[in-house]
Amino acid sequence: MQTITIRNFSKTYVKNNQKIIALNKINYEFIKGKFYVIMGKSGSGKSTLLNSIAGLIEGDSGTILYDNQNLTNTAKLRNENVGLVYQNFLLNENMTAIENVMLPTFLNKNLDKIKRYKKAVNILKELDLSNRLNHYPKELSGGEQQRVAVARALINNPDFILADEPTGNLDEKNEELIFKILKKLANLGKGIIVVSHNKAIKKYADTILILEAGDLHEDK
Amino acid sequence: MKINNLFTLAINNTKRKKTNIIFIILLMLINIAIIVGFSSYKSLFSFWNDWLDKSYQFNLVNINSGSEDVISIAESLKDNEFVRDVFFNDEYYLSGIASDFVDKNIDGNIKIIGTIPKTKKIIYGQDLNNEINGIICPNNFLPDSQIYLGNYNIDKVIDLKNILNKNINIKLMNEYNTSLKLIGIFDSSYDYSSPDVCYATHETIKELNHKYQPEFSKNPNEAFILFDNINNAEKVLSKYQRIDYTPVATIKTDIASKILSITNISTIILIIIFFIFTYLICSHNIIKDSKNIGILKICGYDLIDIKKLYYFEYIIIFLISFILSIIISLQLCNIIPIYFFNNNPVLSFLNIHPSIIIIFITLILNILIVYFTVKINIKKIEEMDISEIIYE
Ligand SMILES: Nc1ncnc2c1ncn2[C@@H]1O[C@H](COP(=O)(O)OP(=O)(O)OP(=O)(O)O)[C@@H](O)[C@H]1O
Ligand SMILES: [Mg+2]
Repeated sequence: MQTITIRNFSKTYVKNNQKIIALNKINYEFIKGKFYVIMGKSGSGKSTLLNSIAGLIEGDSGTILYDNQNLTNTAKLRNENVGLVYQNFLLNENMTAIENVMLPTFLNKNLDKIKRYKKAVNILKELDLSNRLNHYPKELSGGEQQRVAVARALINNPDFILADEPTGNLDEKNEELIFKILKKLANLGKGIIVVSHNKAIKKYADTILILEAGDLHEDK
Repeated sequence: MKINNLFTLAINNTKRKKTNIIFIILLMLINIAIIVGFSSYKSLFSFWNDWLDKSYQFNLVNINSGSEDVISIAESLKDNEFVRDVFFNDEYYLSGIASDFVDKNIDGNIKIIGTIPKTKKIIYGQDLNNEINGIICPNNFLPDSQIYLGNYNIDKVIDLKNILNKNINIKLMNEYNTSLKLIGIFDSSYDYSSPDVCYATHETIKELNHKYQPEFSKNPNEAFILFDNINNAEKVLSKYQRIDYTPVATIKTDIASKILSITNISTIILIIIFFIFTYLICSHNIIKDSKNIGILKICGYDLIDIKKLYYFEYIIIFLISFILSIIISLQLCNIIPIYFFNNNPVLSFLNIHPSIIIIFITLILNILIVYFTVKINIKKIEEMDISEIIYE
């Protein structure tokens, strides 16, 4: 997948008869191989946008095209084409690091037990977690947990990685480590879309996007 | 998703969640209670209904009237199709002490009741016949006056096989020494019989009564009628307006129905609790798992995969608890009568048969509850906002 194109996309929440316009007819095209950072005030709709791209939220109007195609099976999209990383890591507490990483591969009919395991080991190794394979999330530091989450996002070799405040729960050192990993992935040709408040991320970004008043535009 | 992947994931999920172990144990307890409860109910039910139905004492009626026409009534009943036997008070009963068996635990008290052949199921030797002074005794023989007051114990039962066809010395009415020949041993579990009661023919009883108690005479106002089934007594005897009749033994109606209804009601209550409880725990577990469902979603699992996974997980839980329940229930059905009724001369022969139907019903109940709980709760999660799940 080379591009993700957002066309006239709108999303309004209704709560207690009150309308909250999160996204208002936004247009943008994300291209593989670039590092995007989306910034904006709290409540400006950043998470809404990211989850919409991932197909977890349905918009009210407009479309999101993947290589100029409409997609109905968004589960398959998340499994194969976009990897997701969240602030709270979202690891299954009952699974070890490597089991968490292997989770998306169970949907792949072509991978057997051994291949799946080897793949996960390799990715965890690259993220410097080779001696944490059988640790449970609560036995890992925050930075380690987030790297496990990144490994899980990468295991099916997606073209895009979407990260919502991936360093929100991390200290500065780990924050930098995650940014560097994401940057390296962008250099390897993946499209990276990161939502962040953090000014430190700016220096890694190819494009900085601002979301305000339901509108998405590039920072000049 | 491939079935073996589904299986691997579900097994992993199931065994890692600590709540599942508690869940399995609780479910097991409930399944066991239902299986054992209903099996006991069914066994008790057939025990009271069939077992006592064919028992001599429970089909025996004592008739009485102010005048001597009991004799003629008795005579006229002899040919009735529902009547098996008619006899008088001097042909009914003897008591004494079986001195050979007296020891520090057993006082030797024995009763001998007059009957006709084919009222008992003989397992060794022969049935009552024309031989005067022949008796048949139960295979749980225990001559003691205290057997209903706690002195009964399977271990104390006397094995009569060695003295089959030999004489037993009995001191009748505590003073006349006589000896009676043990010609047969009957199965005490086949119908109701008391461990201290042996049977002889009416002729034997009559002869001994008259021999040792010359003053003992037939009471012309009193007779005994043995019916094929006690339920026919009313029908037959209602024609005779001047006589009163009373069944000799009536344990059946009062205690039995009480025990039965208690067993029945408590098991039904258990089933209701089972449903509510299982639903609540399942719901709690699934809702608590909403984060993990969110994780599955972001990894690309669609709703069908997620549902399958949870069905699988709960099927594993229910299968484990169900199989364990059956194994334990079968053991309990064997142990309960021995443990609880060992000291009861009537109930010690009660067998609790685990009923296949009940096991089947329990299985269906388990399957239904798995299906509906997973279905309803996954639907709840489906309706939850994704942000609620992911950003919790
Ligand atoms: N499920 C929902 N129901 C109602 N309103 C919602 C829902 N999800 C989000 N909103 C509202 O929509 C707006 C955008 O929310 P969103 O989570 O996208 O913001 P955000 O930019 O990610 O904020 P933050 O930086 O705090 O994470 C907010 O005002 C929020 O209150
Ligand atoms: Mg957000």
